[in-house]
Amino acid sequence: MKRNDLIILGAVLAVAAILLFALRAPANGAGWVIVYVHDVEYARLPLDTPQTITIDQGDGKVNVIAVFEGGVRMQSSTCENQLCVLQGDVTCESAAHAELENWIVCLPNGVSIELVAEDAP
Amino acid sequence: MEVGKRAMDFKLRQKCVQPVAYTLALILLCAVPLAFLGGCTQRLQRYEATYLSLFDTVVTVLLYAESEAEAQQAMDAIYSDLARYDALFDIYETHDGVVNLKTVNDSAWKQPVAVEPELFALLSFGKEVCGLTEGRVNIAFGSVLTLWHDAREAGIADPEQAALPERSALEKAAAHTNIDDVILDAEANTVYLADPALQLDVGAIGKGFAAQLACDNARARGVTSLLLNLGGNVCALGTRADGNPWRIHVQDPDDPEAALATLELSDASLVTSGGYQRYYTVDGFSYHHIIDPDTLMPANYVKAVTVTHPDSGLADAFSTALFNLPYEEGRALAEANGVSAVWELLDGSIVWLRLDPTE
Repeated sequence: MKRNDLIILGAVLAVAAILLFALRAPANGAGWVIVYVHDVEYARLPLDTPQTITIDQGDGKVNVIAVFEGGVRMQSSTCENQLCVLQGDVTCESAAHAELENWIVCLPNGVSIELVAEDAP
Repeated sequence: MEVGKRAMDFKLRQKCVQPVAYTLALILLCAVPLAFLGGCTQRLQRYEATYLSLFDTVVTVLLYAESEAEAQQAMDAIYSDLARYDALFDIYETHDGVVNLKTVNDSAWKQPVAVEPELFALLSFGKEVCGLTEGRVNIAFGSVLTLWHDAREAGIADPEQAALPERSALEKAAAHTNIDDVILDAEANTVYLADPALQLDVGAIGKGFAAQLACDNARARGVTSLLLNLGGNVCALGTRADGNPWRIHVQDPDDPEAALATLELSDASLVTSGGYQRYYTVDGFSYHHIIDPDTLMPANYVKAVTVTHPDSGLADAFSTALFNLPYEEGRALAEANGVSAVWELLDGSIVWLRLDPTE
């Protein structure tokens, strides 16, 4: 084998390795939180920027959503059943465990939160 | 000019490559795009949506499609199917231009009422299920369930005044729940209620039946990988795009943050019945919405039961039936009907039938 062949071989191997790694490697909790109010997209927030958003619909329905690194929770809600608050933290890790675990929904107030992990299967 | 020159350079270099190395390079070059495709499944993207306006619950649709346009089209079709079934199976409101279950309850005791094929199919299924579950699920139980529904709504709206339905009223209503008084004519697609005080309520089967219809329609439209969740009635079409089964958490009634179990599902449905979702409180005791046809009171045999079955309507029906039975009797019924189940008993112990926890 000549030196040039080795260079070509090496380059192809490197490209293949990089591509394989890029495709297989988990995205380390990167992704978004998408908030919907009455099924309409209201906000799209990056998961790497901790923040709190308040959705006050002006009719007494108020939801406070906390985004933290790698996850999201319903901080508070004015709804009567509090199921959304009781659900607690939804993280990329917990969502990867099973289907449908990446949603927090407050049915009475019409607010839903979707966690979209970049490495979702 | 530039491009042509580069191509020529490449050709010139190729000549210097030894055959073995050339073959290896070719194999590797082929492997790169194959890694991208990941066995042809990676091209399918995951799309999700929730709808809060259907069946008075949360509806989640999860599907794989090749493009956003294709996903949107599939989602829209599923939504419009579900919206149609929601309207048809509604016992509380009439809808413009549709003969729905409320219309049937209001008028089918006067004369037979012609209904849409899906509603007719649901009612036929309801009669069949009443037999299969030995009466534990009875769509003719509407008069009793309405008393509980009204008491619950009033109790939630005004907790101070919350009260149970009158015992005498419950017993009077229970006298009008004979499934044989629901008379279906398959030739004319009509329903007739031979007992004027009988009311239909498909709460125990409607969502599961609708989910199965919507899934079947989606399959016919070419969808191969779909998970449809109608407020806990989970209907799976196929598997995930990577070929693995869908993994579904079964909630622990005592801890909303914890999972009781994770079940794997492909081409099957999973439904949980428990007393912890729809309930109200009277004098410090909570009363849920699943009513035992024998006692006319909320069933209190098990904490929760989850069933899986290839048919979503049957999964829905049997989860209610098993919740309405003591564990041993429920187990016998499940075994006789090919139903897989997991019970959480009143003492907190977990019992599995033909199912395995994945962890």
